[in-house]
Amino acid sequence: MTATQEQPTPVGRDRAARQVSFQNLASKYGLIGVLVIEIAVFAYLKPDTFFTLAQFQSIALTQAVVAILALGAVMPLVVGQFDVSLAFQLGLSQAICAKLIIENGLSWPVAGLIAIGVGVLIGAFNGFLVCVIRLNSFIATLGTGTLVLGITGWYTDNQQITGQLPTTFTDLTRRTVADVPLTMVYVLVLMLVLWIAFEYTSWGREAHATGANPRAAYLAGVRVDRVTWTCFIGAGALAAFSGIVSVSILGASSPSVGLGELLPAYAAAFLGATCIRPGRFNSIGTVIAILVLAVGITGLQLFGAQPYVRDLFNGAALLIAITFAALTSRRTRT
Amino acid sequence: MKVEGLTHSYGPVRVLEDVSFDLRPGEVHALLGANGAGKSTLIKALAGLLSYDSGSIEVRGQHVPRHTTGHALNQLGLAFVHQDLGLVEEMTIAENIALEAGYAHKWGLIDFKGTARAGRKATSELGLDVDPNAPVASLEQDEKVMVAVARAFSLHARALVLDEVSSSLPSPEVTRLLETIKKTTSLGLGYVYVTHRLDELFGVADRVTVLRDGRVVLTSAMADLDKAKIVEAIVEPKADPHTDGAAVMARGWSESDSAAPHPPHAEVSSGPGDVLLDVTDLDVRHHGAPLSFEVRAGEVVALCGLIGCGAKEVARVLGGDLHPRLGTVELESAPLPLGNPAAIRDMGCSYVPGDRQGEGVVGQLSIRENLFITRRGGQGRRGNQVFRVPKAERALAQELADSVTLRPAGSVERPMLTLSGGNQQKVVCARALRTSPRLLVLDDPTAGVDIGSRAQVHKLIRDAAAEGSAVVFASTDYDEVALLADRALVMVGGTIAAELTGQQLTASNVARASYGEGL
Repeated sequence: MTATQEQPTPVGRDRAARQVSFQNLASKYGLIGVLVIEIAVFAYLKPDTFFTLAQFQSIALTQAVVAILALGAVMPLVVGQFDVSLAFQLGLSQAICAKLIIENGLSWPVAGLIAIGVGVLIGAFNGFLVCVIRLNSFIATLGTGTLVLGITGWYTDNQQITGQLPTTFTDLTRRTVADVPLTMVYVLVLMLVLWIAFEYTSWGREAHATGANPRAAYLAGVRVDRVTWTCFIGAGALAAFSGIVSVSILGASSPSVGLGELLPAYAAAFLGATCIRPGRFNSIGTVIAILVLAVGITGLQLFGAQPYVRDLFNGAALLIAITFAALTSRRTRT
Repeated sequence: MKVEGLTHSYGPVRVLEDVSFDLRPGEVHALLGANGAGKSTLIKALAGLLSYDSGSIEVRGQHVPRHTTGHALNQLGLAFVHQDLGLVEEMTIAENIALEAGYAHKWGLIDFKGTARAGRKATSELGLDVDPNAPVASLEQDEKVMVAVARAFSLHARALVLDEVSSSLPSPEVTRLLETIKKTTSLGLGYVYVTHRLDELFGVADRVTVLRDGRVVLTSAMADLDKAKIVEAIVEPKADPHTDGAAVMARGWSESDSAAPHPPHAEVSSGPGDVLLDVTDLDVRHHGAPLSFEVRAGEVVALCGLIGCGAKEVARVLGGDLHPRLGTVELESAPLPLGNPAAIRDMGCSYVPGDRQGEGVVGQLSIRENLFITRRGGQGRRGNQVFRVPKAERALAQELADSVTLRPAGSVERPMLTLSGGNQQKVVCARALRTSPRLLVLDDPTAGVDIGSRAQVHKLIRDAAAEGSAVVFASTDYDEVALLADRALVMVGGTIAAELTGQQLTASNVARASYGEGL
């Protein structure tokens, strides 16, 4: 029972500690390394087309919607739940936002608030199904999502909504501040807010505990249902926000936009869970994952890759990353 | 079936010592013993799940090699029916039997009529009047047990081990089950019947074997015995665990524990506090008598008894995990919001659950995060914290980890699952005590915990009481009860059968009371 018996010699401990900390670093920041290598390789091969300010601005603009959606997906994932209705919520929010501004002539802040309000309501409904009716979240949100898709079609007559949008609204995403696109600022701010919420508040601690062992959390006094519910609501609000950003970028809403973003968003969320806080869904990792995927795809497209490369790349990257994570965690446990 | 000279040790602890035991055809042989006497170890050895040190097992004159399990064991004629029965509730009786014995086939496909016929044959041979196409879920509990027996019988098993199958059955069903069992012995079936309920044995069992501390202390024909004699054999004939140091040490008590800075029974006389916890007419069973008790500030009360006596359920009610059918619980005259752990924690009650892995720790989170898992900072809601500063938390967590001598010493940022069971339990206890609870409830706090951690957990419990907490713990380890508690409430069949304090509170008295015997 004495302390000296159980501790290895200082030299041995140092070496072991160094080894562990290297492993730690590798798994924490491995994905950032991948990103740096990607950028270096493409910058070397295509210095004129890839390594340009315009290219980075374009990535920031095109990835903003999926990044915000992925941050939304992270919230239920932390508490151990799925929300597959998020992409459909994005579609509905787009439709609401565009239609209210273009056809009903509402000012954009009002339209935006209504869209987010609807997102919160759908999130609350998902939370109700999961926490009160106790449905499996995957199936429940699949149902809600399909319902939302139908509502979107009904609300828009399955038509694109295009028309004159106020420039103050489109400027929200198309402007840059000191060459930094505003969309990037939004993503980074949301990322930081989520990071602080999950790592620096009691609510976040309770959410992580709920996801990892709901029973232990419940008995320790965590209001498990309440925490889960708030995560669904947060996810709904973020999905709605991603819809607004999408309208502002595209200048229109289309019933088909958004559905394609579900799988990339989840790929990024899972890929993000392999870095920064390995083994946990986290917002910084998710944004890094979005960049890794986007830079890789953009680079390949400069070499003339076809659009389907995006899916190939997303799928392969996700499988490789989670396989790697599973293997390393198995090794560290034994 | 014949067992000879079975011996097994876990590390330095002998759990089975030269156990010999036999079962004749057509006999019901009761196997008895207190918690931890070695019954489960013996059954594990028979089931081939334990690599025992020495000894031999024979069935129908054939030697059974170690690690013979499942079907191979059935072929030799030995089968087990455990408390959970291993039946698939949604499937029919015939299918449940066919799952083990094989389905009848026709043209390479399952022949359901043939399967049903086989099921009917298997059940009617045992004199069961059931429809083989009825789902198992529609049966009474005793009928389910017999279906499990019929399944084993159809696999040619003639020696059956019934492991505590009656413990969850209401008495009328137990009577019916035993009648059926008695009838089937005429077919040459022999039963090893493991139970805690002595009363049900009379008129059914032919012989009795009692284990104590891993040794056979009694094998005798039932006709020569009465209940008092059996209880005396089960209970250790020792006066006081404090005077009988050797026995205590043998059970794995560390030096530091017996030298702990408390004469436990003295504390009550030195002036107990006010009544903190008041439990009235609590009914944790659907067929038990209600129970009532009080706990004072600074008092350590043990809820104990045989496995299944209801002590665990009472702890779970007080922890908020279980909503009782009837009864009220008051903490300083304010009703405890039963069935709502979060609200109960808000009232300043901490709970250490019984299943450490499943209910106590969050393995993936760090030690620090496990210590500060909720927003609660102290008693009530006033101490609740919205923001967490990891740096400040880390210092506090380190302090807590050091105060419970967490081993191996090191960073509190390690994931919880890198710790041993005992050290995980220290963390769970430290979390429970961090908020200086008014009431501390623990469910079997040292189950599966190593000696050193056990002493540490005991010390934490005594310290909490010394600081004025009311402490209630459920335990099936009577030495622990005698050593740690100021007062022991011995439960039988869901209600309090005896209350032991002071000089009366010894492990053997607790054991005696748990069998419903007077002192």
